[in-house]
Order: sequence, then structure tokens, then C-alpha cells
Amino acid sequence: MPVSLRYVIKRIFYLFLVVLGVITIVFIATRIIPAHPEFLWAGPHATEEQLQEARNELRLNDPIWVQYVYFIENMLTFNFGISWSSRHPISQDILSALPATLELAISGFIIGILIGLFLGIRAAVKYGSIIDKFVRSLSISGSAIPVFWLALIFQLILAIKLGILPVGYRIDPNAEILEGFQPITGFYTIDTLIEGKFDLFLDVLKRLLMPALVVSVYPLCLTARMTRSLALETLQEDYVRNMRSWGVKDNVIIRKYVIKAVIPPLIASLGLSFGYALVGSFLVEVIFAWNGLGMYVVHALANYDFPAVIISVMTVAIIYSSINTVVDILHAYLDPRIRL
Amino acid sequence: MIISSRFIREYYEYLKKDKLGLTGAIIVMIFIFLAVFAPYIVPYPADAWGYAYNIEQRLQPPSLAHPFGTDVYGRDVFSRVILGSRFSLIIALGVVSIALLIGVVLELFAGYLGGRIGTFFMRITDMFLAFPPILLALLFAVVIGRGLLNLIISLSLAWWPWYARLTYVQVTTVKNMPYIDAAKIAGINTPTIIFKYILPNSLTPVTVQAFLDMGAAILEAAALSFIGIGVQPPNPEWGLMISEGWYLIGVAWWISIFPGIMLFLVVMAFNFLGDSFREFNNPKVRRLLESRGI
Amino acid sequence: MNKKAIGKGLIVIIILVVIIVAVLGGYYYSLLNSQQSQPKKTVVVYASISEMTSADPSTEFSNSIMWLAFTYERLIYYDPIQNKLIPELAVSWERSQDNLTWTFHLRHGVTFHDGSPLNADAVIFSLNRTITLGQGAAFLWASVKSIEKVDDYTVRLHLNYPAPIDLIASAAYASYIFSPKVVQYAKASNATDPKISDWFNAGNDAGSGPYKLIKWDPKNEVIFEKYSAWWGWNATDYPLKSSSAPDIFTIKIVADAVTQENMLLAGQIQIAQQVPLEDLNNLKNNPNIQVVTKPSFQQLILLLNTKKAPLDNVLVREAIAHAIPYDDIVTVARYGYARVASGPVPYGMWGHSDQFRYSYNLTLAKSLLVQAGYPNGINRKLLLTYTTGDIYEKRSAELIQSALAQIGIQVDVRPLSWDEQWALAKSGWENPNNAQDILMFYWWPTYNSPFDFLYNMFDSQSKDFNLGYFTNETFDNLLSTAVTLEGSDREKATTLYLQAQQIIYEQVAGIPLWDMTYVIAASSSLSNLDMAINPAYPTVIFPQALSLKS
Repeated sequence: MPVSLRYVIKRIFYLFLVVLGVITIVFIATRIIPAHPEFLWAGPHATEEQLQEARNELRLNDPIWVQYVYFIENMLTFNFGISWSSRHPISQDILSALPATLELAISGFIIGILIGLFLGIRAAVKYGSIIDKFVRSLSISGSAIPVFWLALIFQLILAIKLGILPVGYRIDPNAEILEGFQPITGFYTIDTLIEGKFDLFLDVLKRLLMPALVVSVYPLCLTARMTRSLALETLQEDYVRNMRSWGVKDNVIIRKYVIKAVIPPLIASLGLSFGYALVGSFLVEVIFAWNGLGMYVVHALANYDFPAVIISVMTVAIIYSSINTVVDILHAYLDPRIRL
Repeated sequence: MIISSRFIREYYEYLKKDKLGLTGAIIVMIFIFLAVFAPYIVPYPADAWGYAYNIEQRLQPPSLAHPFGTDVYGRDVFSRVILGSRFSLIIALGVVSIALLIGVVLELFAGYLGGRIGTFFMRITDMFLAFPPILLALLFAVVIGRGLLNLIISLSLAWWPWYARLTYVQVTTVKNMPYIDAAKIAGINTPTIIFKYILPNSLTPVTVQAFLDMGAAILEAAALSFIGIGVQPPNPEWGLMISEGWYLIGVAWWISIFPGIMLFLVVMAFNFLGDSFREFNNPKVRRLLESRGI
Repeated sequence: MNKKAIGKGLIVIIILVVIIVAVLGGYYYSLLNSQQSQPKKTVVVYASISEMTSADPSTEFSNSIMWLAFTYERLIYYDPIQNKLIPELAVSWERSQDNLTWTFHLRHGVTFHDGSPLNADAVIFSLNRTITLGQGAAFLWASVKSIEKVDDYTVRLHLNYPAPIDLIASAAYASYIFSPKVVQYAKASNATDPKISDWFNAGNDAGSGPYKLIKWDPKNEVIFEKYSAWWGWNATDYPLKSSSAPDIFTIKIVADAVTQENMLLAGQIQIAQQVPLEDLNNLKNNPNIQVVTKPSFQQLILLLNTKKAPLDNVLVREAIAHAIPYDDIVTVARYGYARVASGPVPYGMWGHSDQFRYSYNLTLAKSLLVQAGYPNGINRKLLLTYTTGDIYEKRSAELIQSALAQIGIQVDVRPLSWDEQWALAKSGWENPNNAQDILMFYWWPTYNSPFDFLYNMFDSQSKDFNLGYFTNETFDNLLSTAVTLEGSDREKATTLYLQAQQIIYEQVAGIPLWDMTYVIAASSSLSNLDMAINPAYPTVIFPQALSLKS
């Protein structure tokens, strides 16, 4: 057995604790910090009737631990209540927005990891050269770029001024009515392929490209920076130095030793990379009119629809922790030292 | 790890040779200077604070009179961008110092006491770290409300776990040093040990880290202001200005672009400084540098 | 080690094969499809800034008017520009001498989308449901005592007091006629069963209009298909139609003006509800784009809290009225695409007068403040609320903030969601000291009469929208007299409405800021757009009037 079952169970149990913890933090933030939680839940200027309804819904007349138990029960059964800006159940809203966000975040994440890995290794091999200086300054300055601002610049140049890439929307607005496109999974790249609509698939890719590039910036910088220093460390190992002095080609060394040494610690950081991609998508969705969770949250914020915002944030935190758990297990699989 | 004045001198020597780090340091100093003196040096102070408007001058592209152009109310974007540095500095200082205070105080006790309590505190910290960056701050901002002060509070509440973890590691290291054992044997009471021996030695690296984190704090604050829950108009915060200019990006790009450049430069400068500090601190890289005579 | 490598290679190959098969298969399939495809349907996409609300024609009182207006029909269609009533479902109508009875003769040969015929029963069923439910704009029918079926195609309304039933029957809300079969479809027990509402809100329509609802996704898009059996396509007495109207009309929710503009330029939408006005000159120079402007009845107005110090002092209110740079606000907020308002009745509506404009005069404003006993300005921040998300309101509010600062009045400008803004404002009837000082909001008419503006915003009985808590008996009496004359003596009614507005003007109960000019940017491939827009039905584009150039 590559990873002991005990380790997996332990990690999953730990994930469960973290999820409970996240829910608890949300509970503390929304019920204990505000003096009158019903105002947060029903809007600061709701009518007495609405407030009473919210008080009943939140069981504010019960002791705090009873409220807490009900809160956890509601959260675990996806009973999030109704959004007062969209008037839909929040769980339904989130479910319909989530694939868009994940599609964007995953694309940006993959682009970022691949380019970052490539650049990081190049830089390490040519330590001190122009390439290295470029990669180093790119990877440091890149994480200083405000993504929402970068999105604006991309939009301004590529879409508005040059008109090369389409702006706004995940798919041709007439796809459904003219081509009979029906979302199945909500991931449009997959859906168009399943339905065999190749033109639409290209359209979806074109629309995905610009926001995904913007989202890829943070994971790219993080990966490039980590890869560079990990690869540098490996190249400093005595056996690698010896091999290099014996005239073993760089390509061979990279393939046989550097990549192998870089991948496991890099995998440990995938969770964080993905976190950056998620947050990045959150911020750029509004600019690209990308109907995901980020746009949902910004709209809810504009309408002071706090439950919708809070639940969305909680959902993302839980997704993020789950991914971190998977990453940890994966890491353990690849790096036997941490198998316990 | 103990940071002495020798260490700082060494770092200063190193910085002189590390061009990226040096650039960072210079930009950070300029930024602090601008933040302190902005109201006295900007050409149009009333525009900068947002209480003036000038219809004839609206939406002017960059020119000599208005190097960064004017916005929809005819306000000078240059003045606003410069004054924006003051808002960012206040936010960044506020966030890292409050976060530092919470994180250090909590973990100092947890780290020193160790055992169950220590583990418990670390688990709480982990819960907070389970949120992706910014989102926890967003959650608190939603609960506390909008505005500059609330923005600082919510960012700090989301930020302290990082310092808590760092302090924990530091305290655990320092705690096991022989002189602490010696102090215990000598019968010195716990608070004295904490405040006299552990605190000073654990604090320095965390504080340096906090200073370098100011760039990240500025960036997150700008992101929150951008989505409308941070600093409120008519104040000239960079993220807010970018969002205000977005509506007119096709007509008047300068309203969004210049605050973005400023934001980018300042955050980048902090990152350069932070990175150079990390490289300096990394023994393997140092060895490499020394071997190459850098 | 070896085994592992083989395993890895296998996985890579499998993934590659799957991708290649999917791509090739997809490509082949799309080739197959394109060979079979029939002539494409014509589509017009209209981008809306706001999401759609409910779908019940009886109770809806919000954004869904954008499509209810052409999925359902009224008895009468109103053209406010020519001030003409155009027969729609009713071909003719008359009122009795005492103005208490109105008789409508219905059009023959009209069918609802389900195929059932329009007749007196349907009209009575629809109006009764709307009136009984009593939600939304149902109050318009308050004067109706009973509705009588004279014969299959004649309906008679008996009133308690005279009311302009012709205008009410042409209103943008609560005026729609639908098939009585909804009871059956919804498996409801009677007309007011909530099941019918649920049935509507599940995305069903029961109208007779030129387009029928085929997709209901109110947050993202709502799609309509041409109803080929619509009576109007061939009717000679009905002008609102076109022979090349689009087969499909889509309302797409695109929440910001910048994206709307970009999508329009890219040809992905044909009509944009909002584009950044500052960019209009560029758009006008673009041969692929047309820009249509039309005066509207939508007015941005400030209601002042007349029951809370310091605005309970008419001199302070007057000072504020003279300290607002109206022309600058129109320039900044609407880039000139609005008209400085004169009185709460907008330009173009009957009963409007150009007499009620306040001058921008800071000296006068300051001296009024001195007279009022505030020589050093007001010592507390006044709270101004506006509806969040509306950039025109935002800019107007921020400009007022800096303008009032110049006479020593500090303003706290606070964006709130409409629900919140409204709830806070309504609470002012109980305790005006807890409410805002200044409320900024839009008013547009439910039906086309000055009464609608004056009553809702200023009558002491109107607790829902009189959000400055203005009470004035003379004003109330003038209104109640005028409204009963509307149906009989329009001229006398107009005089009374002008007198009522004079009171508002002198008392500064509200400060009207500007009357909006609607600006619609559209693709040049559409013609007749001008006709498809009607200020009496705000935000509606009537697709049946659009012509598509091939």
C-alpha cells in the first residue's frame, strides 16, 4: 500500500475538524461579533416583521449552544436559506455559479503551474544569467500585480483597442438558441465537447483564454519562485555538481534529478497555488462578466445581501481545505518521508 | 535565531550589492516620504481629498497641468494618486501592527506553555489559515462594515494567524535554548521568562517579516476597496480609484491605470525587499553567493 | 520502478487518446450538423442591466415589465409623444355622461398563446384577479366597483368615483390580460390561488402578445419566440409591428455598461440598455452602431425630510435647493443626456410646466441659511441615501455632497440597496428623526398622469412613497379634486395640478434634479428602433416593431 490507510483517514478526520472550524469561525463572525445578528441576516433596516422572522430562523431566543448546533446542522445539510437579492435558495445560487469559477480557476492554475515550472528550472540552470534575473524579477513583481487591474489592462488592450479576443461571457450569447447548447456539467469546455459542438468549444476556449491568463499570474509566480530555489538547491548538491563537472548534459540532469527533487515539495504548495487562483478568479470575474461565484459575491455585496456573501466565502474555504487535504495525501504518496 | 546589529549591518552590505533589493528599499522610502508629506506637496489638495470638482476640466487626458489626467469630476488624478499613498501606508501599518500584537501575544503564551494548550491554540490558528487569502478579511469586512478603520480591523483579524504560527515556531525554538532552562532552574518566574527572555528573541524575525508583509497588506486592502467594501469615496484609495475608473476604461484609461501602476510599484518594492531578505537568510543560497564572490 | 513507468505511460496515452477522439468526434459532428442546418433564425439580443423579477402579470411591479409588455397585452396602448390612445385588445371604448361607467368593445379573432380565444370572460378574469390580489400596481383600479359582461366581446366597468380608466387600462403595470385557463394549468382552485403565481414564476406565460416566453432564467437570460398567430401582424389599425421582426428575442442580463458596450461592438448583442455615456461620441461615429435618444418620464428627485431638524425649516430646504448646481449634475451624471427638471412632473407629461426650476445661486443660498438661523452652516452631517449600483445616482449624490459643502452643509452620502433604502425611509413615518435627511430616488409613472407623481411622492396618505413625510392639506385637497376631473375635464385638472406643484415648489418638499433622456445604443442592422421605445413603458423594447436588415 503506497500511502497508509491510517494516514488518509487521519487527514480526512482532520479535514472534518477544519470544516467544523470554518463553520465555527463563520458562526462567531456572524452571530457573536454583531450585537444584533438578525439585522445582519435581514438587512440593517428591515421591518419588525422581517426581523422577527429572522430571529425565529436563527433561533436567537435559544441559548447560544443550541443556536450553534442548529447552525452546524443547517450548514452540513446545505440549508443556507434564501438570498434576499436573488430570492433563490443560496445553495442553488452557489451550485450554479461554482462551475464557472472552478473552470476559470483550474485553467489559470494549470497554465500558471506549467509555465512557472518551466521558467523556474530554466532560471536555476542558468543561475545569475539574464534569464535568471528576468525570472526572478518576474516572479517577485508578478505577485505584486493587482489582478483586477491587470484584467482591466488586458481588457483594454486585447479586447477594446485591438479586438483580438472577445470580452465578457463564457460562451456565445446565442449558443443555446441557435446551436442548441445545453449546459450539462457547467464546465463549458467539457460540455461543448460532450455535445460535439466543436465551433462552440473553440469559442469557449477563446473566451476563457484572457481571464485564465490573468488568473494564472499568481500561481505562475509562486511556482516559478519555488521551482527556482528548489532547483538551485538540487544543483548545489555534491552529486549533481560532480555529474555536471563530468560533463553530463544539463537536460539529462534536469530530467533525472532536478524535476524529481522539485516535484514533491512543489505539490505541497499546490494547495496554496490553487487558493491564489481561486481568489484571483473571484476578483477578475466582475471585469470579464464571468458568471461565477466572484460575480455573485460582488453583486450580493452591492445589495447588502450578507448571507449570500458569507455562505459563498464559507463554501470556497471548504473547497480550499478539501483540496489541501487531497494535496497532502498526494504529497505523502510521492514523498515517502512524510508517510506516517 | 537572534538578530543583532551586526546582522543588520551585514544585510545592509548585502543590500548594496543586490540591485533588486536596493531598488525595493529606495521605492519603499519614497513611498513613505510621499505618504507623510502628500497633503503638503500635491498640486491640488482639494481634488486629492475629493471635496472639490471642476466641470470644465473633466476627463482631461494627461498633460503638464494634470500629469495623470483628470477624472469624471474634473479632479486631478495625480494629486489623488499621491495622497493615496497615505491611505495605503496607514492601512498597512495598522494591519501589520494589530495582527502582530494579536498573533504574538496569543502564541507567546501558547508556545511557552506548550502541551495541550499550545496544541489547542495552534489548531485555532489552523482554522483561520483554512481560509484562502483575502476571503477571511472579506468575511469580517462584511460583518463589521465599510470604511477605513473597519477595513484595517478586518484585515488584521484575518492576518494574525500567520504571525501566530511564526511566533510559535520561534518561541518553541527559543524555549529549548539552554539559557532558558538555566533561568528556570534559577527559579525565575514564568512571566519574567516570557517577557525578559523569550519575547525579545522571538520578536525580531516576526517584526521584520511583518514589515515586509506591508506590501501584501496594501494589495489586499486595495482588492477589498476595489469590490466596494473597503475605503469609501471620495477618499483616494488606489483600489477604489481603479474601480471608479473601470466604468470609463474605454474613454479615460488614465483614471484606472495610474493608481494601478503606483499600487504595483509599491507592492513590488516590498516584495523585492522581502525576497532579498529571504535570499540573504537562506544559508544554501548564501553559500552559493559566497562561492561566487557576490 | 519499471512497472510504475509503464503505468504512467499508459495513463498518458489513454488521456491523449480520449482528447483526440473527443476533438475529432466533435469536429466531425459539427461538420455533420452544419451540412444539415436549416436557414438560421433571426435573433435580437437586448442586454439588460438588471435581473428580471417575477413573472406574474397581475402583481409584477418591477423589472419584468421589460418583457411582460410584449408577451401580454393591454386593452389600450398609449403613445405619450403624440398623446394618443391606440386600440389594442379593445377596438373602441366609451364612457358614460357621469364618467362612472366605461364600456370596452373587444377585438375579434385574438388568441392567447395556448390557442384559447380572447373574450369578455378572459378580460374580466384577468382584471378581477389583479384587483383581488391587490398587489403591485393594483391600486390603479381602486375606483372600480364592479366589472360586467355585456356580451362575449363587450365589457363594462362600473366606478365608485370618476377615474381615467383609459389611461389606467394602458398602464405599464397591472393592466395585462391573460388566459383564464391558467387555473387549469396550475391545478388551482380559483383565480387567486397562489398556485397560479407559482405556475407563472416557473416560466410559463398565458398572454396574447406578439412574442411568447420560451426560456425563463431570470438571473441570466429570458428568451422569447415570435408568436406567428398574433392578430397584430396583419391588423391595419395597429402601427406597432414590422414585417421583418426577429424570430427570437433574447433579454440577456449583462450587469455593467462597459461589458454591454464591448459586447455590442463585438456584435454579440444587438441592443445595449446602458453604455458609458462618455463614450457615445465614439459610438455615434461607428458605422455599425446607432444611438437612439428619447425623452423619458423617469425623474431623479431628492425628497427632503420635512419632519426632522434642520430640514423641517423651509428656509434651509430652500437654501439647499439654490445651492445645487443642476446643470453641472446633468453634465457629470448623464453627460448631458438629461434635462434639468422643473417640478416633479417630468417634461413631456401633461401637467408639466417650466416655471418650477430653482436657480443655482450660492449667495442666495447662504443668506437663506443665515435667515434660518444657521450663519455658520449646519452642525451635523446630513444623511443622503441613494440606491446602490446606479452610477448616475452615485455621481449626482457625490456632486451634491461637494456642492453643499460650499454653503457649510456636510453630507454623508450612503448607498443602500433599494430594499434597505426604502425600509429606512418608510420608518420615518413613525419616527422621522431616525430616518434619512435626504432621499434620492427615481420616479417613473405607473400610469400616465401628473397624479401618479404628485400623489405618490407628496400626498399625506401615501405612506409608501411620500418619503419626505410632507403633509399639506391644501395640496391634498387640490389633488383629490383634480383626479376626479381627469376623466372628464382634463383642462381643469391640469390647472389644479399646476397649483399643487406650486405648493411643492414653494415648500421645497422635494428637489427634482433631472428628467432622464433614454439613450439606447444598438447595432445598425436594426431599424425602427425609435418606434420600439416608448417612455410610457420604461425599459421596454417592443421587438415586434423592430426590422432586421439582412
